[in-house]
Amino acid sequence: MNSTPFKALRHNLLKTGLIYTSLTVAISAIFLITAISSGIIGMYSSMLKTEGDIIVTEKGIADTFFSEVNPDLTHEISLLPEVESASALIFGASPVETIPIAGIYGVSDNRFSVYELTQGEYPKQGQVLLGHTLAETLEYPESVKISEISFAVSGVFQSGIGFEDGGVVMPIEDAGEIFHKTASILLIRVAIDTNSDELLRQINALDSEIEASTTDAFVENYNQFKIVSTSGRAISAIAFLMGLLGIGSMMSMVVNDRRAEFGIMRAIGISKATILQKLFTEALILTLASFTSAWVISEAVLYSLKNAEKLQGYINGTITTEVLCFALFSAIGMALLGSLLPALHASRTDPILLIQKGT
Amino acid sequence: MIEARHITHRYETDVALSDVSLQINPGEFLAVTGASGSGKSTLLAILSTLLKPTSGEVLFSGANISSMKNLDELRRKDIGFIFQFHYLINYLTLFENIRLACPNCPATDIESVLDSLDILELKNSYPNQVSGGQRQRGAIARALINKPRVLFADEPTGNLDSTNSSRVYEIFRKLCDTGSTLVLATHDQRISEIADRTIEVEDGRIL
Repeated sequence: MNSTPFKALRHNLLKTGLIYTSLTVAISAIFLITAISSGIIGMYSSMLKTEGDIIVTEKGIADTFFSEVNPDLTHEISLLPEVESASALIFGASPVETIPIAGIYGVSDNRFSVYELTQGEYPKQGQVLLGHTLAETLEYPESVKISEISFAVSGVFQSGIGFEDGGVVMPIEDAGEIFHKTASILLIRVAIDTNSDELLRQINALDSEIEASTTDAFVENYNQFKIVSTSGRAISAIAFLMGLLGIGSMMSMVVNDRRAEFGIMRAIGISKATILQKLFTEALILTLASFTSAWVISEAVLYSLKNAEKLQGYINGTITTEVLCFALFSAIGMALLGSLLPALHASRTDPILLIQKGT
Repeated sequence: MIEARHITHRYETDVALSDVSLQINPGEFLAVTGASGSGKSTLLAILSTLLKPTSGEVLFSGANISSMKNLDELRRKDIGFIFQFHYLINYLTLFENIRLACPNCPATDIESVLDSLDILELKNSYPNQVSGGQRQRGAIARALINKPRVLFADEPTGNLDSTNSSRVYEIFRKLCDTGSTLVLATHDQRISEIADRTIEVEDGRIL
């Protein structure tokens, strides 16, 4: 393996260190914001997709928190062909004991089974089921106060979804009293090979105030998800630009310091393309080193966030293969674009600088 | 081998060379002397393709350099440069510096050139680990590795003491005796003792 690029990087240790640091910070930012935003979307959509092939919300509502539907519709929907089950949910958030905010999920009785019990039993009226993260934080209490109302804890569950594991599940009637609504959404499980369009038409015909869609389509078009992913992309773009400017400015300084080196290369017949290749190789080596460091740092940060008691597991980002590829391509793009102008400048170094003018 | 026809060069408004014509024969050791600012380095830069003249033309083996689109191959194969400063790359060993000029040369060729300049034992040393004279010999080795048809040297002994200067001149003389063509710019008048021909440049003209 040619060691020249490594020697060049080692020779300019300070500037190499600065480029490495700025790239690592930028790539870590891309990793974290992408992983966290896709984690939030992933957790919420997993919640909806559990036993929910079709979702019913109030018509024209942009956020499920503000949606209100009639839970009695579950009976009519259950009678439709190809419907296997229909359940009602209330989404809410409220202080729980000393925790300033926690997700509250009021669910109809037929939905309790989606929450896997680790201890106790499913709740009855006046009781709640605690997510295991919240239960640990509150040190497995016998009762909890939610919105000034005291509820007995009937058990603890684990779902693997951070929002749920850090929240409270209760009968939908109790949640209705807290949030003053009967149901936020309905979730419907259907048989395989169901003609969704026909079923959606039939559900929508039951009530003019509701809107049914497949959960996949809902997730794809949900405004809150669009806001989260757009914000994530915007912050990633800013991190990308910061990294780009960082590598661009530092590479310009490096190239300026090494003008004589590039001048002598041009004088001895080394082509412009070879000089470009040399600088791109150096930039790529640094990028791969920074990428690896950023990956390790991001995994550590995400682990800390996931396990931070105060965050109750709500920030639960995972570096998936998709996130990894996105960050890798962003990093390579950053390195190549950032070093392009300095490398072009270096390749055009006029070897005449090696001879004193006018002598 | 090289012919300059009516070369004129200006740096903005300053005339560095004025209507210079010159012919350099194969195997010749040509010394270009003159005071600082006389235009000798500009003449050398133009003859060696590093600088395009404002007007006039330079022929290399009959081909007009000005009309060549890619000078890289000519510089790599036919021309060698030695400057006043060695311009060796500090983070590469002497061996690696020479390899840079000839990536496909066998190691034995590089070692042979280093040996001919008495610096073989320094092949794994970095430029800042050897003396000024040894560095300049490293630069000469880099210029010689591709067996160029013409060697250009601009004040190659400018940073050397008299012992090392004499050593470098000896090397040059030997090269010409074995058929190389050498064009050397210097203000050192002693060069006329060993060069085949000496021309003096003053105010951009050959006297």
